[in-house]
Amino acid sequence: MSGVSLDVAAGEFFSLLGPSGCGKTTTLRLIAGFEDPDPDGGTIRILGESVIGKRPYQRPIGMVFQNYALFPHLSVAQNIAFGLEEHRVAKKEISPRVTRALELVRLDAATYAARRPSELSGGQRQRVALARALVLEPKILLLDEPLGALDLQLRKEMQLELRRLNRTLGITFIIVTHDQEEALAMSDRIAVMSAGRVVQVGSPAEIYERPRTVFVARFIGEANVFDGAPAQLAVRPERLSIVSADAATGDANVLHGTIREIIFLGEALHILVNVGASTDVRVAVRNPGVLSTPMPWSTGQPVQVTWQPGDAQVLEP
Amino acid sequence: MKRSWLLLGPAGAWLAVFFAVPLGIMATYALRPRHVLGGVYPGWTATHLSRLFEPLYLAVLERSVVLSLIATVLALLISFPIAITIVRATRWRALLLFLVVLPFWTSFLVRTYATIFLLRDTGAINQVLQFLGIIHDPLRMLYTPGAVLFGLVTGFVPFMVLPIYASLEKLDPALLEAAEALGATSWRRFLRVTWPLTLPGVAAGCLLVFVPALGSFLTSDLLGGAKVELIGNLVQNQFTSARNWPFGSALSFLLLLVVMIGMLLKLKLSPRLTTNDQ
Repeated sequence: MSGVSLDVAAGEFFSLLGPSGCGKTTTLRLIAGFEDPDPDGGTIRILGESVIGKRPYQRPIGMVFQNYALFPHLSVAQNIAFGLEEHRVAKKEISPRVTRALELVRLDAATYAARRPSELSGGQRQRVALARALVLEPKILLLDEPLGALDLQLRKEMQLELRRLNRTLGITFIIVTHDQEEALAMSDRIAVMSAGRVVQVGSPAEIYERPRTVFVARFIGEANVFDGAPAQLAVRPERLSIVSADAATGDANVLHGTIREIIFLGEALHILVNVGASTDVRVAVRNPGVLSTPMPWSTGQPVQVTWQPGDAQVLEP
Repeated sequence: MKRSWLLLGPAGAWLAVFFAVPLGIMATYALRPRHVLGGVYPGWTATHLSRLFEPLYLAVLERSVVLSLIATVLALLISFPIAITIVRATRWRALLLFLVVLPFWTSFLVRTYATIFLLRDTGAINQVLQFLGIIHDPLRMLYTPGAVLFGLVTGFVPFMVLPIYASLEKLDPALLEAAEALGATSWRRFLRVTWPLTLPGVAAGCLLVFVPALGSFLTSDLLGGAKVELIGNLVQNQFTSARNWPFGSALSFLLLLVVMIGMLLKLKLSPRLTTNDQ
């Protein structure tokens, strides 16, 4: 890895987003202290203080692992008490703090405290892993693909849950994910990584609406990339308009082609238009309710694709 | 479902013919009057069973159990670090495992004789120590209880290493990282995560060392001389020179009883195994 320079503000919900092998997990493990940077490989500061050479338990961090890494031989309560015991918290304090941690992640202590991790569902394990890390009141919570093992419904629910915890506790969340939709939904800011580098850092809106490179434009959401002079342009599918071939358009940017495919996605329809280039142009149209309001488009139909100059993003090479 | 029971047929037949039947023969022999030329007379007697409780034999049993327990604990202390080393060695893992299994390629008898050459008064260890001037007269090592212990431990260490290695390999490294993030130092991680989660492997290894150590007679015969008599030697003697087959059978059952106690202890530990899956 090289060229990874990040500043995460206190209390921020920060995502490290990228394809597998881009170095996002390594970045997280560097912050946690499970990996060490090269001697001349830069520094990591938490709250202004260098943590280089410090073991993970000497850093004010909590960590939620990809498959939760709950101790299978311990009960839910014992899992959560583990860190308190290792930090020599007074015995009489431990039990109330465990209960409070369970409340925090909305698990009923009476029902779940005595269970083993093997007796929990995926979402419940996720909550126990969160409680185990949060009970130590870390300054930063590191989450490695925390929702990867959950199904879609549960994932959406846990996204909101993580957001809520971040807001109410004021703890900085740094989360690793390869799911761009998840990163957009949860984060205050996102660092997009590729091949061991940070390509772009910004708010979800900045990343989506002002992608800096072709990689970012294509990795987050979908983008039509056109070769313009002097640089490439990216236009989001929903920024494109589709009109019939004979309609007069005032727009400066017009492409002529034929419809190759119409994809029904529920809230939108994607129309793939062959404009003679190797890749089709993708146009997103809001679904008007195709059963009651049939679309005027069908495959093979010649059409024009247009956009306003302000809808195109100039990309860096 | 019913058909799958048929698959147990060969193993069941094997166990019946070569385990249950001989065990039954031994059980009846233990209750028959002794024939001086070996073998038994018809009829029933409890003399052999009551002889088991003579102090002489109880002392042999106690010595055997104690020596086997010490051998088991020593083997565990030696094997756990070895198993950890093998699991951590990514590049040399195959080679190290090969080295652990290598002794199995040599006959136990040959290895025990080799130990004699190592330990005897004119053996390699004494010669080196004398050459270095550390000792003047050779140390008496062979034909002592220590030599028997040495033979048992070196002979059975692989049986301990392999099950511990197997359970260590299954241990998710993320669990240790989670423990570290929660504040556990390396020793605390071992105590609270590694040890409890590898306990089934440890229990299996202990049984694999304790049981054969308890029944061994070759090691104590060759390395202990006639001085360290274990229950295995006693059984062997009853069937050979003493020609007291019924008493030998009775002794064997005593041995079996101790082994069963060990098995039950292991079973008490293995429910933990079922909660290992996550």
